Amino acid sequence: MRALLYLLLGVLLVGVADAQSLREKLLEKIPESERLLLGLSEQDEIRAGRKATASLLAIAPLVEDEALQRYVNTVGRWIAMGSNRPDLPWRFGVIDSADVNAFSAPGGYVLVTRGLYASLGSEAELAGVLAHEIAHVVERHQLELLRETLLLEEGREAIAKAVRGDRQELVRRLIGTGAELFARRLDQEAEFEADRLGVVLAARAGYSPYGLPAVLQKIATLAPADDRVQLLYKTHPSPEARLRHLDAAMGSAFDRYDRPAAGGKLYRP
Amino acid sequence: MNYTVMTFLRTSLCVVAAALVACSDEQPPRPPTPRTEAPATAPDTRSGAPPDTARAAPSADDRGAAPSSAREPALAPATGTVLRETELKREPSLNAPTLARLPAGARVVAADREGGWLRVVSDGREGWVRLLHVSLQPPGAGAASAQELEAVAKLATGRAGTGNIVSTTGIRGLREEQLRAAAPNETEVARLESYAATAEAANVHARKHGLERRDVAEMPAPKR
Repeated sequence: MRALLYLLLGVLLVGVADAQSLREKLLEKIPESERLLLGLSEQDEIRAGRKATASLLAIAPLVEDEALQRYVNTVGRWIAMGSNRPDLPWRFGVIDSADVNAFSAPGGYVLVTRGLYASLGSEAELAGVLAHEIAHVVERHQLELLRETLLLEEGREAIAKAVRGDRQELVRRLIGTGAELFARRLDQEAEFEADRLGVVLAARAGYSPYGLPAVLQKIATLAPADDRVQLLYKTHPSPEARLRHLDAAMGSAFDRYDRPAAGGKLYRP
Repeated sequence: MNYTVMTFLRTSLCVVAAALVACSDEQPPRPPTPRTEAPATAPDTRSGAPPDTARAAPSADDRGAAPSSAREPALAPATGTVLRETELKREPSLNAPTLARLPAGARVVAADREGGWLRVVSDGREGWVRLLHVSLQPPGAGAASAQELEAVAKLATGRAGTGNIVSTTGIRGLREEQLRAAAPNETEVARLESYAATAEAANVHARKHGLERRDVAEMPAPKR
């Protein structure tokens, strides 16, 4: 049914000059998240995320500790399974960088730096960090940013002409050069949204909802001028603004989910 | 007196003394062999760091290991500010007796954290406040006084102060130019994929540690 709808939409978009109103009527029937993705399949999304991740791994490879890598994958997968995109090929990793940060890329790629991991005090805090990143993927925040940038810079028709059905070429254009995706600032609202959904996803997975707020509070104890948080401050609202936002959104409604001891023992390298 | 408290007092004395004499950069005394099963990693104080950045507990080295417990590790004594009027509670619970009302802007020194609660010393009193009502600050922004440090030290649980990010100099983060210039590393991304956990492995972990799925509604954005 959905495929049929897309086909119909495709036919309408090609060549029918006065199809504007019809097209809008059709669009109303497609959920927003899918409408935004028109022209980009989940496979394209995964390919794009994989490419950006591969570039980040080139400058910050995985920490050489298989047990650690498998541990974060287990915790991350458990949380992601409670999201509304449980079947993405979720991949988690700890990368060898002193930077205090975590990253996600379209399609289910999530990386935490060794610097941030070292600051964690419990599995609930790890869960909070991973859940924030999972939320970005679930909401397709980066994908939307990439898609919008490409459309703005090249225009829909020029892209269609250049790509001509070559999905690799589309992915290449989408991601741009290297791992610059991870240096880009998302809309502040997207970060706040990922914080809110991250708290919810952690709580759904049985963890304390306060793991993420605790990590934000810790990050605030680092001077903003510290080299290891430069990228984080450039790409995110301040930890204090994020805490204030979560306070306003959470109130005391999440106290009933607060089980501080829930979860396994945090793996220590 | 356990090691955490000792190191903590030493580093705090360092801060107090910093105005008068430079603190030595020497390594702190090694801890007595811990009785826990955790590896006895000596804290790395990064001897190159200036004394004023060494205020936080020293065990948060990037590779530091510490005994863990069901509760979260104690915080190093970061100072903070109350973001909005809040109650100082005797226990980390909304139902606990209220000891005092702390106005917005009140100064606190953090001693511990448990779930959504932060244990603090404020104006000579000790209790728990909601974590989300407090913003902690980097060292240097109104360092804790000797009295405050002493009060916080009394609350020390003996759990190591991991979880704090020690300020250092000369450690570099990721740079934009670096990110932009990176070329994909296929081998490494394949390695990342090889560590993926199966749904079954995730379920086993959750069952083993009592993590239950809960229905939690999505949170709407707060009204501004």
